[in-house]
Amino acid sequence: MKHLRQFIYRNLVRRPVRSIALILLAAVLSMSICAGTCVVQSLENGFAAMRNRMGADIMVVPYAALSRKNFDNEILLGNTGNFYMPKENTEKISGMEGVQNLSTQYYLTSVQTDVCDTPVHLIAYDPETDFTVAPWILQTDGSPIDPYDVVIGSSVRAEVGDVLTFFGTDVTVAAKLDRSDTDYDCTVFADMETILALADASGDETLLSYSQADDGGMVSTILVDVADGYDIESVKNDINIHIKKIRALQTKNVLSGVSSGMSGVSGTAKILMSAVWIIAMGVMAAAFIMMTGERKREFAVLRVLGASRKKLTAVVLGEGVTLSGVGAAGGAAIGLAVIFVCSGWMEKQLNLPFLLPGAGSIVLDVILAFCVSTLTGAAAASLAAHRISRQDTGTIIRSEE
Amino acid sequence: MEVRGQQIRKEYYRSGTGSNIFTAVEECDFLVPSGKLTVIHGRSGSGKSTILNMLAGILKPTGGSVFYDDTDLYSMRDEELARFRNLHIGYVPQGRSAVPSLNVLENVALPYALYEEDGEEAAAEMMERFGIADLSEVMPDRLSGGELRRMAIARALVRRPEVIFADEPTGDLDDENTVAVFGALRELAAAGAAVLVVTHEEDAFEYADHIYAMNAGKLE
Repeated sequence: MKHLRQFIYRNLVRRPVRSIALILLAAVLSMSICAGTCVVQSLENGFAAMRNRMGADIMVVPYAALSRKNFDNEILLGNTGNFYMPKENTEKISGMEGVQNLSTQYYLTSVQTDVCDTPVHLIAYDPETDFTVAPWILQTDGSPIDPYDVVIGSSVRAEVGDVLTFFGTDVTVAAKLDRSDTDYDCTVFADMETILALADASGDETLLSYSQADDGGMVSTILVDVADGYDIESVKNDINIHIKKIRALQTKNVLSGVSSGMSGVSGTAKILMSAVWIIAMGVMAAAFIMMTGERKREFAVLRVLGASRKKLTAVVLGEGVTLSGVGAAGGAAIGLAVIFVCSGWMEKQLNLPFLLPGAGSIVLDVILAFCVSTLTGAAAASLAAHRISRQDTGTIIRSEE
Repeated sequence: MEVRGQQIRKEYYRSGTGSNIFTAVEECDFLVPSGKLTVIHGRSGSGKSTILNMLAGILKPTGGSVFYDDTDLYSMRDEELARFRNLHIGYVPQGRSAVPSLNVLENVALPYALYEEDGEEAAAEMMERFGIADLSEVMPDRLSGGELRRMAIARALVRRPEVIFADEPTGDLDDENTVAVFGALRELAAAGAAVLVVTHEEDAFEYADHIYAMNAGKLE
């Protein structure tokens, strides 16, 4: 043994129970910071993506749709439903003051296929007037969306130019959307002509009845973009007053429900992380102080043999940083694995948009978790180091063990 | 190198007593000459370990100074004093003093390791001298009291210090080991080291050049 760091290493290796206990503590702290930060960021990303995805200022739905449980969350997360209203409402709304753009969507059905892990939602939209789908196109061959062309969500296992078959009818993938981590990732958008053809081909009487109603003159949602200078709330109220059996919703208000849910979850995650940090700091400090207390005679012997206070501090800090560093690295790795493995489950449990941050952010989260946990261990050890370096060597060395 | 304590005294603050001040060692002068073995004896609690610790640089006196030749020990900064102890002072503490996470060889070589120096050869040599060479890889919790004591002595002497302090060095040794330890300390003194032994055993007297008695903090 030629180096002080070997002395530190031997102290740690030859006291395995104590070392493992402190490593686990640092790992729990690191894991909670890494996973917690990722969860909070994922919720914020998901919310931002959802807000951008909405695109419209006002969403008009049949009044009956509001009776669905968790309507706000479900509609925002891309869950479809069979609710319909006459398309003539579109013309009425388009003539109202303040309405700048307007587009409709028609939810046909969801089908279980082998191109996506969850049922694929078939939605008709109007490529001519659309202003909510097109901005999220990631890949396209550049050609316009014609009949029997589809725009697919990011989780649909197909690429631009591929042919997909629904109810025996072939459609061509004309564009693919960016990832949203909502049900929109397993959605197929097509024009009304294509969706009605699919309904016909399905042979399903229920779907036929939907599609044949008023010869496709039904829509599920009307998305409204309000012109600059107009009050969105006023336009929404106008729509609600003048059109029956519908409900116009200001997307900001719809989002606010999700936002408050997200704030609650984020806040809880932050409180939990803070609590874990405070507890870990306290337990680590107590553990290091107890540990050095038990070893005060050993440290007194080191002093007698020629160790300065600085060297004693280096030993205690070295042990603290090594243990918390190992724990922090392991904990961050476990936290990361938990996030990747459980993100789908968490999204379902939270019923909130959940979009994992990019690789760069995740690396920063890991570094943050590692640094905070390691520094917490170092801070806890420094308290113990301060105490041990101030002890009266002469008194301790002559006291009985 | 000789050690001189000039007007050294040690007092402790103690709450709950009449004067609040407890005098462990009354003011005294003390000399540990080089090439001699000096013994302080006295009852437990008489202050003999306190005076030894003050002279060894690990317990700052309340008053007075300690000189190693012309060097004022307590005028040094902590790092200087620590290095000085490491290079010039060998100290055998009372009781068990092994570092439990290190084996015998690592314990004996520890004074070198503290300053990133390779002391294994010197440690092996010193272990040979004290008959513990075959215990190199053994952990301290496997050693007998006598073996632990010999290990502590080997460690104190591994740097071949000029000044040696031993606090009850034969406290838990049998007669054979006691003779061996005092014989070794006597040899070191004969080789020029200043040796100070604190003990309550009168067996030490036959090896001593100077004998002091401590009684209730007073040096006699």
